[in-house]
Amino acid sequence: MKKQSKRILAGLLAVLMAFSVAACGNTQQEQGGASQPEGDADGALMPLTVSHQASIHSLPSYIADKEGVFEENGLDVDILYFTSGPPQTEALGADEWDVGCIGSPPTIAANLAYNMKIIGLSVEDTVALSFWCRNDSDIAAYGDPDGDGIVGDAASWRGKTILCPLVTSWHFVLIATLNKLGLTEDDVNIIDMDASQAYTAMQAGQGDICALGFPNYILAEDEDWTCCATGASGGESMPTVLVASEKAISEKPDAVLAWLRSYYEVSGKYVSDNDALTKYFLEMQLEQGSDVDAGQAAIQVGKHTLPTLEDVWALFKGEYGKRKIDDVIYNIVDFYIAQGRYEPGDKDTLLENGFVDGQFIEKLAAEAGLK
Amino acid sequence: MKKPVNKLKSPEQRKFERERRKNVLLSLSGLVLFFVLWEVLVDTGVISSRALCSPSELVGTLLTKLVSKNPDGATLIVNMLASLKLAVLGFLIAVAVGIPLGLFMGYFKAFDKFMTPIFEILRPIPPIAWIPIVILTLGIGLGAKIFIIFISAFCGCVINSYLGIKLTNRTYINVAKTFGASDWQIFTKVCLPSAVNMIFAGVRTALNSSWGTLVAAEMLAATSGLGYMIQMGRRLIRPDIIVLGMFTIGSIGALMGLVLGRIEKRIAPWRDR
Repeated sequence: MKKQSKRILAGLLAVLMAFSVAACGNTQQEQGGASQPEGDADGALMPLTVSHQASIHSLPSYIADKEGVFEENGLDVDILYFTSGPPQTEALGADEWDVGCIGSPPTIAANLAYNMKIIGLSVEDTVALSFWCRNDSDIAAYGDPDGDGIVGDAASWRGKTILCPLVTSWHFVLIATLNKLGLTEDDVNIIDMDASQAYTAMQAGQGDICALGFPNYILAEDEDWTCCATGASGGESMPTVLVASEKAISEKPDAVLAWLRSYYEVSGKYVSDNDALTKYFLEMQLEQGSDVDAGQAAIQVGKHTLPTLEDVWALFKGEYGKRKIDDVIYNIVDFYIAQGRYEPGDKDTLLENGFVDGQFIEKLAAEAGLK
Repeated sequence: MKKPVNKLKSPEQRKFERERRKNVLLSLSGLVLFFVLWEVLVDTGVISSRALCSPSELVGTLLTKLVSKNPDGATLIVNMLASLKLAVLGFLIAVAVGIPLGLFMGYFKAFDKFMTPIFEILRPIPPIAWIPIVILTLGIGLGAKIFIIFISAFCGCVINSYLGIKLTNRTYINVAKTFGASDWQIFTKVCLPSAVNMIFAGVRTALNSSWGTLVAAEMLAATSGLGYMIQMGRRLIRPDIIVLGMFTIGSIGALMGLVLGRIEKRIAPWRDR
């Protein structure tokens, strides 16, 4: 009897396993991952996996999804959210997404490793990045007599412990600021730390200066801290960018173009409507579990200007390697080579790889009669 | 007077040496096969070079990192020494606290009842979950990172020391009682020697945990270290740097395990019999 019931149980388990494997197979087909081919010409929606961060640069793509702009442009979009650039680019290495919105620094590594391309531009990244010191520090005491946005001088900054995530936009802004003060990385003590952790550490009395992003730079004023440097005071430009995987560009160029078209359609529509942008940004933040309010969302939106297709075309037009966008992006590359993060030969590799791919912007510009 | 050298070995000695040579050869063959297979899998594209570098690339990166600070800002030796300091200190503190705690919990019932609920709550908490609280209480310096290592290594020491005491043969304890031994004498003369095997098992576990938690500890805040080097490798999508960090952690861990084995043989020579 015992043997018989064991046989029955084994048989039931085998049947259950067979059902669950079949169900998994169906689910994968329904989801339509990044490996599926482009949609056909009879009007079927083209599947596309888009990667976002819960940041302003992803907002036009978010709005396009909410307002059905993607469907209007023939797209069936699946959106993945990431907390920052490194995990986002890691997922690209596993072909988890096709296109996305991201900061500039991780794109350099992603092109060298995976041949990811920059296909468009989004908002300026440095406008909402800032560094903060305590009000009772000698940096704050020195003030900003030049009015250039940098508080303190070389003497007050020298030897300070700075909590800042490395190989990021913050790092870029920090080095630009140090250069303006006549200092180098060796004159300060930079501790690699995630910006949200840096905020906690600074609250706990650690470090002298910390890098802060949204929403912590808003909360910093309540901590009796002084903003001692910003992206603007650093004087360098670092845009956030729109990117596509090599695979998506070769296998579904129409879908990539449709996504870019949707992005700039929304961006152009809402470029002057901060109220609508604030509403959507707050919604995106709350959906991603961020504890922000409407006032904070409005401040963050107010700091950024969405790009229009005209703005982006002005940077992309011209001969490859000599466009304004090449100056901007390769300035960032040169910065990281000078830091020793990349080799000088990597710049040649980026150029050979067609790192900044203007084909899609050119097509959109031609559609819009700008070319 | 000079001792005469006997060059003639007994059959048993010759057999022992043959066995030893065979074992060394087997171990070396295993390693060689592993590296050859790895190289073939990456070179033929079975494993993408996006995900994993080949051993030959790893050797190149190793030689470069011995002298170059790029891309993470410190040479391999500087990173190794920074991590060694962290891991060894965390490990030693875990052993110094964990073993006595486990032994006392194992022997003294009242202490066991008092400590066990607290220990059972703390035990499953992953070291990385401690980081926010550690930043607020211990800051971001060496002490904070050592704490992360300690909390990971400590549990293995406690559990194994506890079990070592609990597994003491009751017959030995009863005989000791019959001969009029006090509680303390039974603890130190009977239970402790009996628990040595398990204590060393706990120490080995603590050593593995110390090295295994290094990356998490250095995520807290770092300017150098093998975990920091791995994090930089991740940001720069350099699988060769990541694998070099992993390989170095593994090699140092293995070497320390070897040293621990020698210490074990000295303290508890009866283990191998």
